[in-house]
Amino acid sequence: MALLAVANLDVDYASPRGPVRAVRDVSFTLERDEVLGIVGESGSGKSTLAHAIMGYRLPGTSLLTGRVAFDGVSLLECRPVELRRIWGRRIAIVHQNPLSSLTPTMRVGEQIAETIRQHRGTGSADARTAVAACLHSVNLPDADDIARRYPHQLSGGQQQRIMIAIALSLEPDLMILDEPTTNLDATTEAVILDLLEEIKGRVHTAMVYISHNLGVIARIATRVAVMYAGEFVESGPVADIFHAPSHPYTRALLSSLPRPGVTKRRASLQWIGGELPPRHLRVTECIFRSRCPKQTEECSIAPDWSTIAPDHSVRCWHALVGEPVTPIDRPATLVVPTDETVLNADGMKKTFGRHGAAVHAVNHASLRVPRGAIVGLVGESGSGKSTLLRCIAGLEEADQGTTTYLGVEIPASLLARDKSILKTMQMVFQDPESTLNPALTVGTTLHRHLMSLRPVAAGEAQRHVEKALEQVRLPPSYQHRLPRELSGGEKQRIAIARAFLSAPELVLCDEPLSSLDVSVQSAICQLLLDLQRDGQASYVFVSHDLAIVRYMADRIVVMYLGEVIEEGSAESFDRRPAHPYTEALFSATHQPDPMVTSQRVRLVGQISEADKLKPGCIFSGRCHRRKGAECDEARPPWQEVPERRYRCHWSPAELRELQGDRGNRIGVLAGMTTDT
Amino acid sequence: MNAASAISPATGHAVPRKWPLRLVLPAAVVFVYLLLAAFGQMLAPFSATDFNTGLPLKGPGQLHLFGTDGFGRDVFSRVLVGTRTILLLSIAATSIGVGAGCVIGLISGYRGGIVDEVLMRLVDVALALPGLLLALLILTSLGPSSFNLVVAIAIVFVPKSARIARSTILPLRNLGYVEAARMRGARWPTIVFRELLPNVLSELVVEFCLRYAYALLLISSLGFLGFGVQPPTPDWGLMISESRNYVSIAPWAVLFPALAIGIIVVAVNALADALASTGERRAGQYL
Repeated sequence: MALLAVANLDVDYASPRGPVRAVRDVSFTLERDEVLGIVGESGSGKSTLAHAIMGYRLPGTSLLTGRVAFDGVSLLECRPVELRRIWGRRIAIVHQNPLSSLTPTMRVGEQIAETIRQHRGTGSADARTAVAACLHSVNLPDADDIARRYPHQLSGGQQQRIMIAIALSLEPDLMILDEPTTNLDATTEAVILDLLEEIKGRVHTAMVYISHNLGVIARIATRVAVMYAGEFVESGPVADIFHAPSHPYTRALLSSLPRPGVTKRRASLQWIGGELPPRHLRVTECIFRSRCPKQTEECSIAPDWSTIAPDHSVRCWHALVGEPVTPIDRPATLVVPTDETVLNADGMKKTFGRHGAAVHAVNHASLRVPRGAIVGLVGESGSGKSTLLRCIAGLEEADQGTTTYLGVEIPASLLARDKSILKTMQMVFQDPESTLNPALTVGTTLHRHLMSLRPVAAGEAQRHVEKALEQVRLPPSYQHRLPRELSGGEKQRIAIARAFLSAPELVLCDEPLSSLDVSVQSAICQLLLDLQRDGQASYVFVSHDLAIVRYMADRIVVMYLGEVIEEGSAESFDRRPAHPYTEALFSATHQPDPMVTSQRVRLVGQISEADKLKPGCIFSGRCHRRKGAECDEARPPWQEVPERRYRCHWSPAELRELQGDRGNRIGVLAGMTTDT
Repeated sequence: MNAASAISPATGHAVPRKWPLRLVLPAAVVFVYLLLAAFGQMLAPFSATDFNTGLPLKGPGQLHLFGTDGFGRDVFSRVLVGTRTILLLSIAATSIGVGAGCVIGLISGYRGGIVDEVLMRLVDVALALPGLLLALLILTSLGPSSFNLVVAIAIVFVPKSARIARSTILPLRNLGYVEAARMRGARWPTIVFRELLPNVLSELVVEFCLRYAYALLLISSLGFLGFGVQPPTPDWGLMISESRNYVSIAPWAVLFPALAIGIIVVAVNALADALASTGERRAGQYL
């Protein structure tokens, strides 16, 4: 008997406009030892489903019907007292944000012990031993120290490991993981996934892993279900879904992701136009019809499941069988960077706070942007990449350093900068939700920006606003909308239109894609490339997503603890050797391909302010390729390799030896893969 | 999958708005008070200041709807006529006090640093004194008059409103749209009053309503203590004070002015509450 059997599960939320259909007709079974990956974009109903399969009604739920049989027990018919006996002990859940799941005023050891005592009724001495065992099982070695800490004294990765420890403490049969790594850095995410894989092999707990990240799903799942607008549209073994996706939605998702070795010069990314169907209406046609490139007449009737391979079924009239997704071989851009320098920021330094608690966010970092280039700035959170960008923009005043822009040295303070500088240097911000003033219509926002930077006659302004909207492929009617009437992707388009109103020479993009869905990200990428072609702008592109950076950038700059530790042409990052930190960073990215197992380079420890004050290499404390005493004693010199340079005590020849020259490439990004 | 299909169908149409009862009811009460303030004088059956319109301390009846007070003045007429004084004085005091407080708070909150430090320490000093005590202090030194009453209450309100306004603007000061405004060269007055104010306006309107209710109470309290509106002007607080000696034999002379105060204070508070939960933002568009 299957561990979990879900049949025809429907979940509705109450809303003023009638019930919102969050989950519709979801059926699946889960065996012991299996990991089901549920992949879907925001608004697809993944989290609702995660709770519904526990028999948990989220606040506002107005309908929860169907059958959820957990080990033979029908959860939807259980009384609350029966459910409480099952939850925690037999089904455990790990949420996205560990800090809001942990009690801030309680030591974490006590929180784990509480779970154990509650369900097992063991004494406190036994519980204490159990806590230590739990912490060991999630690779938190110094158990006594960790157990005594409060949640805020732990890093994000450690907090999530505590959550997993609590979930595992009672050896549940089923563990539900709802985007457990979404808020974490790529390097930390890789460590958590390693841990989950190890646990999977050890305790035989079945898992439901929910994520929007196809790379993560490919890595962890044995079976995958693709969710769209509350319905499953395709499900099958992980290899089938990624190598021969059948549903047009699955195919579109996969072809919107940058693949290893594929750059803007070789291929265009695809995206999914349109938006989710309205969820308070009853839809009788295929749920994906309005956005499907292949829709025909018969799609007006919702298709039923059809089995196209053993265990692989799909809900589509036009399902493709056995065809892999291939990139479209058409360059996304033809813009080539020139030798001319647009921006040269030299020796930038920015310290926040005073003496004792000072944080050296940017520490003598330099950045050069050639005309027509996209410079990718990468690093973990806390590496100072955003601060460096904001110093260049003038939003933060740099303590030291000179910024030469278009051949002239410009003041650090934004207020001291001339209008002609502001006009040609613009910025796109990270969070689409706050990038537009919620009280102003799109038209007012654009109009104000235009009139401040490039005053035109009153009659002309309207035309300029409309043209700006057209540039970002939005109709003129959008100028009357308020930001709350727009989707995240549309808001980011308006923000880009705003930045381009004054025909900028340099656009600073601070993680412009990180809050967007995969299928929207690629559209924004292409938009930025098109605008670059039309306007000859250069970009600094800050991102934590290395795959996107490798696709978009001409040059890549890697930052760690406020310093630049490696920089060079983007292609050169495909070759070895590379700075050990870069090596680790690249190996932490997950390819949307279950056959690709990344070479495991995992960092120990975490970014620490204290490392900056040491006389030696700032990375030595976490480095997996430590050379010796000199790492702690002297700042490493720049080492030159073709088209690139890095700061390390290892010479290029020595480092190449260490990293092996298999394929002569760095990590997984360029295909450092082992076929299984 | 072309770009044009990325355009969503018009979803911008607002759903027909339903006015919730919790908003309509208190608003209606306030509206009735405003009407009485405007036309109360005409509706009053007697002059508000005439003595001996009937026997002193006569109970409510057909001639004297709310009875008469110790001087034989008609309580109904006095309550009606008193409406205008107290509503006008509270509006004036609240507008000046909350207005000045908001400007100080918004600037302090956005600018931060030394400006914030200095302004907020001054606010702390002012907050250390209880409202009524501070008002009494000001009135005793300035002397009781309607103008001084307005000034005193405004001064009491400034620090509290400044605190509220500052707290509304703090979480917004580093948002993307503020930084985008800085990137177009906008300076702080533009950012505070054109970009941020529209977004905190609904909170400030709520603050205004709450302060207004408090102003009504303060004016009545000061009137009761003899430092507010001076006799013979009919004032609810003063009326309660004058008739409190007869409360056991003529409760009506105290009850009706007290009810008049109570109802408007509750209504304004309820209105503030309803507004806070409605949070209409579109109004900010035209600032």
